Amino acid sequence: MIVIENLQKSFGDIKAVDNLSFNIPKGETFGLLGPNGAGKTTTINMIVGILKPDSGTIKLNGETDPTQKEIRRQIGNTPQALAIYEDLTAEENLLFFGKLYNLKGTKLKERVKYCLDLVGLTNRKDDFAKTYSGGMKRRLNLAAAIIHEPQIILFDEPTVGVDPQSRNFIFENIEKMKSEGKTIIYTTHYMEEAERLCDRVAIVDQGKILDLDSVDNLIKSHGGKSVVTAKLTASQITDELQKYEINNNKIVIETDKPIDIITELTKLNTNFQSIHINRPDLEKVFLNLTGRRLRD
Amino acid sequence: MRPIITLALKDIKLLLRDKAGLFWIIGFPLLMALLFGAIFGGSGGGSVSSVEIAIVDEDNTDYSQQFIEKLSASEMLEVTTTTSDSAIAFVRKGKKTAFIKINKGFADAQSRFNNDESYIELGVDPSKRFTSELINGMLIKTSFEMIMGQFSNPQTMIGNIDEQIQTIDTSSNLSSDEKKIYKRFFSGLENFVGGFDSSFMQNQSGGSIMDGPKIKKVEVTQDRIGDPRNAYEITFPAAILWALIGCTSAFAVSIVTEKTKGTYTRLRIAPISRTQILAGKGLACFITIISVSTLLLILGHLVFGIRLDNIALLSIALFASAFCFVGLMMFISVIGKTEQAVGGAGMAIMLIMYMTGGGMIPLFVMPSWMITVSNFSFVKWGIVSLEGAIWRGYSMSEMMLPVAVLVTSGIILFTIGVTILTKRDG
Repeated sequence: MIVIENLQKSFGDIKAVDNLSFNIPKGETFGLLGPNGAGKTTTINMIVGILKPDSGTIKLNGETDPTQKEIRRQIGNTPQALAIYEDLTAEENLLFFGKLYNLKGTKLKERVKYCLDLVGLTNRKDDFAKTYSGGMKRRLNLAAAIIHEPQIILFDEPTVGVDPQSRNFIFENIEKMKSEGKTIIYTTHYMEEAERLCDRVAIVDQGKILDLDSVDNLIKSHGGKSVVTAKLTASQITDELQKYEINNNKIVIETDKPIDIITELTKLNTNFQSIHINRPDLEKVFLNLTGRRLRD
Repeated sequence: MRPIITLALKDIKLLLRDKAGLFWIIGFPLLMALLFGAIFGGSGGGSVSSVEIAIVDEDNTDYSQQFIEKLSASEMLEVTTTTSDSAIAFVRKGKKTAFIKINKGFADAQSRFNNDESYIELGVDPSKRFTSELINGMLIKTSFEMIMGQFSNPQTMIGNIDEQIQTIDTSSNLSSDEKKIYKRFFSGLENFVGGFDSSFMQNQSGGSIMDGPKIKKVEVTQDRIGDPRNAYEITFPAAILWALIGCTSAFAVSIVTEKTKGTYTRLRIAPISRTQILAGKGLACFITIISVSTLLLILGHLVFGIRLDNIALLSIALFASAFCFVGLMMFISVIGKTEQAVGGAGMAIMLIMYMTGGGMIPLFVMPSWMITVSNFSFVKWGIVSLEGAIWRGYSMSEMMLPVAVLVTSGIILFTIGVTILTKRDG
């Protein structure tokens, strides 16, 4: 469905995208995870055809020119900036964008109604967008991207500055689109979002893909071991526990099999104050790949 | 074409919802036209509330002069006595609202209460027909006052009757019996007037006794080529140009706003070309300019008598001006990258153009060096084209120069704007 090969884009001396390549099959939710300035938005802008790559190719459904009208009709984009008209109502915004995609008559009205319902703005459809909360504006931004029923939907950091309720609403919307078989590209620097929504994730930094795989595989490859931490008091430290390294009344064990370790510890008949497992996540993956935290 | 119209309608809707923006586009230019129109002399230098009339006294009697004096005493009329040709010319040129011609025999007919023939002619400026009844009423009122004056002065009346008796004596058309009957009647009338209580007439309205003088209305055709009828014919074209500047600035800034807010990105991703996006913006600006200009012209015509005689030429002038300012809008939109930069720089450029182009100081009072400078201002060519259609009496060939300058400039500016915008878009 989407094939990106050796994509490059520079702004002056800065290489925003450096030889990026990946394929996304139909129906997959693909994540671009990286810190701010990693080149995610530049990649999205090249995919939708508003930025010309310096080199490399983009194929959308076999077509190499994303500016073709037929290709554009298949793409929906939720830009990071709130691309809505604040002096229009939610309904007027959707009617306007729908008309640009040649929707008209009953079909247009049906789509507007569907999108308003989907993002939970039906009750506020006649209010000007400028009166909405940040989260509601984000939801309208999303609705405007899908008014024309695109097959490929790009979300560029859609939850920036959004309250937890709206964030959940957006996640549910994306999961619904995913279940409808839409192909989705989702950029974020929140690893929880990528873990929840994406089938595969490309870890991007400084315009390059550091690795690309499913979340589980990335964690397996780069996340390191799980860490089991058991807390106890000084009086509870028995001889049987001496085989573990104890620091400040804590036993910290790095392991590939945390459940086995916990089972072993509980067999020792010791009443631990607490036992925690810290599994590796994409944050850890990024840290291990770049030496920096995702939001540094 | 459908996406272009959709885009244009969206922009017009957004503009209509911006009350402050609307004020600068419609309200402020109108205020300017009214203010400067009043400062420059309104309807030709006189008080707006008084009606300027030219009077021709061809009767040239004491009675007709008294009649004119009475008319002149009215605060509602501003009277100038002149010759017949000048009076008609004044009205045709729009320098006077109406002319009144008092024909020979007026005094004689009034003294005999003879209303069979009209001795007063009234010609009113066709664009100010609403004043016709006012002037008519003033003439009837003055006429009655004069008649009442006759009754209130029995000696004058008796003198007139004596004159009639002498006329009967010398008449060759009457038989001796008829002469006797008429003489008996006038002698009786003389006795009646001699004993008449003049205060009775002064307390009557007069309308029930007489129908007043017959007034002949004369058609006047307008002939005002090369001369403004009033100050508003100068201030309204200037105000329209200010409205154009307001529209230009508003839409130039809106292009930048679309970019900074991100809606431009969404438009670029839609299945429409960049040309269509910019054409939509241009069409919205064009429609707004034409609508606002038309509104101002209609208002100026209805309230201040601005001439809209040559609609074809006026339309050409308006379309050419709108075309030029759409191009200017596109050019100004690429001057800066923020709303503040574009708004500020755009207004500065256009203000200079307005000042040097005859927006503030009318072109015809500018010194020659300033007129030369004004050639570089699109405002000048806009004003010249509008004035050409309104009062300069331009022919189609005379209109070609300002129209060519405006259209050519519009094309060049639009092309420069689109080229820079396209480059910036990458």
